[in-house]
Amino acid sequence: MADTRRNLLYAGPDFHAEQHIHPEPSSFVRRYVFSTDHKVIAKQFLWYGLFFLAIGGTMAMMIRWQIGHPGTAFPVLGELLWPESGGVMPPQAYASFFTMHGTLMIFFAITPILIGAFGNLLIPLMIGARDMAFPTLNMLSFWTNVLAGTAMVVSFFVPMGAAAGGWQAYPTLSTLVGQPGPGQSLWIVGIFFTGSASIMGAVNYITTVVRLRAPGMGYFQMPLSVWGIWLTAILNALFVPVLAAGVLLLFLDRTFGSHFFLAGAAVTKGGGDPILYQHLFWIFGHPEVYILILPAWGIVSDLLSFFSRKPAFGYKATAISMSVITFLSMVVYGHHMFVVGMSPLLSQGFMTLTMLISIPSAVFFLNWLGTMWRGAIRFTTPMLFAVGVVFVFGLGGLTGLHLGAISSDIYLHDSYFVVGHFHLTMAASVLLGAFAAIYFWFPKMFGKMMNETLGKWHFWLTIVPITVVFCGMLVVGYGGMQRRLYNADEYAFLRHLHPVNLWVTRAALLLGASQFLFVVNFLSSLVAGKKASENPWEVGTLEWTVPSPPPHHNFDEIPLVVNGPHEFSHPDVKGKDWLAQNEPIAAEPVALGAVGR
Amino acid sequence: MHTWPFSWLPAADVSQDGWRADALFWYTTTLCVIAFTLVALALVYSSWRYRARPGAKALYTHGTDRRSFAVTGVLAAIVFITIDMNLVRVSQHDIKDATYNWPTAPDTVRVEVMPQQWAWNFRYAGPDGVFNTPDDVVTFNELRVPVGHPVMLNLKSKDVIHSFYLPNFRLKQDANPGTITRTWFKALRPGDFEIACSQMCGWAHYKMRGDLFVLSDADFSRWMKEAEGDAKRRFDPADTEQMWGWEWLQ
Repeated sequence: MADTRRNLLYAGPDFHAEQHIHPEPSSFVRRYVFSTDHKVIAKQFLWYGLFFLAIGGTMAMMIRWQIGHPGTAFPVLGELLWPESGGVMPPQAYASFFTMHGTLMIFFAITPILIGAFGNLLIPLMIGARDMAFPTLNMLSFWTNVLAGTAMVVSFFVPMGAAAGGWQAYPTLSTLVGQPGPGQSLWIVGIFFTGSASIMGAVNYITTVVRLRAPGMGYFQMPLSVWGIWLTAILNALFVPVLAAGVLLLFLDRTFGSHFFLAGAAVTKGGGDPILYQHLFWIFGHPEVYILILPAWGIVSDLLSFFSRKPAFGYKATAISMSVITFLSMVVYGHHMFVVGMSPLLSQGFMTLTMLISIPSAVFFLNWLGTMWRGAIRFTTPMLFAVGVVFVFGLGGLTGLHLGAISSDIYLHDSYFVVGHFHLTMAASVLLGAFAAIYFWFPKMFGKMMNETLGKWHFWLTIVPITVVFCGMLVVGYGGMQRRLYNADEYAFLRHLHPVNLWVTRAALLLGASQFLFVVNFLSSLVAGKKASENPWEVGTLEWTVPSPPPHHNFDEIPLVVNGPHEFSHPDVKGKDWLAQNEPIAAEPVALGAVGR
Repeated sequence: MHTWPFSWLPAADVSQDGWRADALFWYTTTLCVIAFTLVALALVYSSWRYRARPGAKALYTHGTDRRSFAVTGVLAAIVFITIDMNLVRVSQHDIKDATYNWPTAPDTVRVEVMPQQWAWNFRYAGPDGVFNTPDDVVTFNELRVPVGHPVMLNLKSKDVIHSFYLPNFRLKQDANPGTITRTWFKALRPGDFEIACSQMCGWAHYKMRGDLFVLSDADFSRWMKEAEGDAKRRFDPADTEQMWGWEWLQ
């Protein structure tokens, strides 16, 4: 019967037949360590990302402490880390901490959580596949990442400490002239390996989405989460290699005496061009911010529809807007370099292209609002976080305008305004998106529900301080404060900003403290959470049609997709307000008339 | 010293063209605040008005009808035209009239700037008007310029990338090793101001502070005369390090 229906409804190429059901491996190592199961790898990436999120977050607290209370000891930890200065963070450590805070958060916290964990978990489950297209490559991607993370952690303990040239590692500061220690070289090794892991993941994700969608699952039947992750994978595959090339040349400059990026006092004769590195870096670096935010955009688009109990407003327009932004992200990178001394003609071109991003952004923003409009909104914890993303991304996106226009950027460039802007877009939004995703898919991953009350407290104690912290940074940025200052009081023109900085620090400490609510909730739910049903949120995407957690092979039978991902409150459906993607409405499609029921 | 509300405004603008950045900043900020307020209001209103209640049913629509497209399209176009296109238009004017409109007037003061970890070196051409000659006036961490005259800078870094930042002039320009970059400004009133580095340049980046003294014409000429005399006396042909200047790039 099922086969007949499939043949009648779906005439496309059937790759799904080749997805055999393999028995679950029985050895501990193959099951939990070197597993090829995308669901296990997703959990590995989640733990891995949360570990680095904790480290990067703690570093942020110490950085903020130094800015708010310069020259005083960081409570408890300070004494342990810097006994020789009585617990006060020395300026060398400060430089190293903001460098590693950025690096760890971007490449080892956000990337593993949103792309590694949720990319892995969601793609096969949401498109109706038994696993990734290349399960072994998937495993390799995770363990390559672990090598990279190890290099980063080890770099803290080498002579002269971890890299301290900023997360962009601009030469010549990142060459032997500015960073003579092995920390910077280990940083390059770490970036190169994590980049390789990203490329492996990207190839896998792209292939899986293209080849393994269940019958009936066209591109425009995919959940927007999958759209976001898929576009991210495309950007990763195209642009991480550019970063890899850049840091590889930097490595040669540091280790083998080449001159790609060396000039000035660093070389006696000949020499290269440090600006070349900036081009390579930002050709990757601008797409990177979309690499980080696209999965969150997709997830938020889905969650807003799920909990408004309403189809995603302008679904196709949202998917197309995200694709247009993906394309535009490739051609705007020059706006990071307006004060480098680039040709004015180039600057003008990049400025104009940058401004075009407003159009697709406005479209999906309006679609988000349109989705909530006239819904029946259930404010669960994941929904609160999704709305939070809309809120902080609104702030972050709009402040990008100041930086996209040359004449205001010249004043704001390299100031705290930039720091506030990019934290709102790619830290606050992405972090809130990651929390939304964790609260939402935790039941599917672990088979347990998280505590809603704690979750709501966590939301409010996160959204309020996070807004204060990053808006405070916008304020001191407009006040003229440069980024990466160990002690702003060195400058008379910045001293009046100290009270604002102090309040930003206080809010940041509150933000850090409130994350313990999440830790407690996560761990206690893992052990003693209420058992999750198959579909606790009452939504229709395919992962909710299988048990929580799903069996090793996900689907006993590859589903046949007949609906879009957001069929809520359909007037023909009685007794419930949602429809699974593989669940026909009472009135069958015409083709099925022949078979009868 | 500090009272509520916080004082958070930037340093006073004492330049001829600094108002451009300020004006564009506030134009953008005003429109952003309006746009964001609308978004926030829509969020709050929807959240409250359409919260799930017993008996309430969501509207079944995919938002694919012509009216939805029209509303979305028109709103996106309004944002693009009122905010983005205007930013581009104003910025283009600023670039043409100020940023890259290099001063050519004969009273232009020309200075070569070579930052290093973590200080500023300045070089004036001296009486012969040619850079990198024995009569150059060289100063350390102190830049003196006359009020009301355009000042044009050539920048090149000695070691790593630095960024020459004058908060009171809303001016910023990177100085790279190996290549020369240019910028210019004109002070409208005399006074003592700060020079800051805005590009991370090593652990003591925060200490890379210099002084800018904007002097009256008379004071500037007096200082320059004195400095030229000193330069001649101090010149030591054996010290090759001090000939760090370069041929002027207009």
